[in-house]
Amino acid sequence: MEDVFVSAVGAFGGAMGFAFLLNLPRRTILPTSLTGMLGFLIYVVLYRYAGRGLLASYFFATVVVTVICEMLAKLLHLPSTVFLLTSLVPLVPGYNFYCAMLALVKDNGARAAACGLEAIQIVAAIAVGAAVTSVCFRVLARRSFAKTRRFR
Amino acid sequence: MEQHSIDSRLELVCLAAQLILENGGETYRVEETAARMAKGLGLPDAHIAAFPTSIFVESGGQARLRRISRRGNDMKRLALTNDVSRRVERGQLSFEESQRLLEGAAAAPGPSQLTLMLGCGLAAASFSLLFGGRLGTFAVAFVIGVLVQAIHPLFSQMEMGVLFGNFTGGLITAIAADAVSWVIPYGSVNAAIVGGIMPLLSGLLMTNAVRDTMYGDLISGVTRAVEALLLAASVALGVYVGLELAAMLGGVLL
Repeated sequence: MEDVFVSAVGAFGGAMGFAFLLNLPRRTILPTSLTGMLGFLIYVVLYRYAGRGLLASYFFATVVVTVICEMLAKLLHLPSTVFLLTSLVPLVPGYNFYCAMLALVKDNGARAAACGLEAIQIVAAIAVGAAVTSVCFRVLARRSFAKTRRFR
Repeated sequence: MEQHSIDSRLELVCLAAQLILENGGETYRVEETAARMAKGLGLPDAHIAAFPTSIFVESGGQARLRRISRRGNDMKRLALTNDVSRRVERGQLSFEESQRLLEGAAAAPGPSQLTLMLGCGLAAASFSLLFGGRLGTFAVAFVIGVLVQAIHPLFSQMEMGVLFGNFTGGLITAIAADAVSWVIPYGSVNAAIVGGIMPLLSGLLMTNAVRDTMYGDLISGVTRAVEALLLAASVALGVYVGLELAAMLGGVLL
């Protein structure tokens, strides 16, 4: 349980730090950080506790994050990128890429390959999850656009 | 709209596209925004192509080209430009007004260096928790994050500044994390290093690269992927050199 709590604090703070770095509008900082935390917790619970696969855990976490971000974007009339970039930060495998590159400069090819492949797997899961969900929202938005005149 | 020349209208379309591209928008969003601007400004036949390093806009035989050399992330500018383009499309903004708003967005100062330093520190400290750090590591990673962001302006004007900045960031992170652990054993050195370099890392770039590719922007996807790998490599090299230097120093000092 302590592990989950530390993960929650880490993901929340990490997303919030990036919210400042990416200069998010002030009213979006808190919801974005919370979304980032939720996404990471979903991943932690699915992967470490429920024993689901690596790709599935990242995929479902990303889908939930993207759905919330797209809804926030509609609600606050801002482009979804504003929310999505920051909320995905705790999930995105920067560490694995670093790990692969560090192994390369340390002349450890096998470890570089292992880390790099894992990074590519995770990136694929996140990118597919985010893109598929976003596209669904765009199709839905286009359909309701004619009726409501409200933009996303 | 018609009293303005095609040239000046294309210039405005280009400015909007440039603002989105320079501040962290996806390639499809750049083209979408430019198309919306062009439609609102009475150039519905405009052709637009955007790449991470350049923008082309063409309408009625006249064309504009912009070279993009600075790519960052500023969500306030992104949101403002997006808003302007939507209002222009619906005819709610005049040419002059939208020009004024976009030029204002381009000239607006980013967040202050203090905010960036605190944000970087917070991100670094928090990420160290995700890699096995506890309270001691949190504090050390916070200081490292602030340091890494503090040296950032030194490199922003330099040629190949991003690479050098990331290399130096990794170097400082590794040396600081190691050096502090000689004086105060605060916990996992590795967690402090990983946390400290997290704000420099480019997993986000890589994810965007794959998303661009999936949207059919193949050139953008490959370009961004190469950028992400290059940045990760420069950070890793910095950390490696830093660890080696620290080990040598430690051998002399201790």
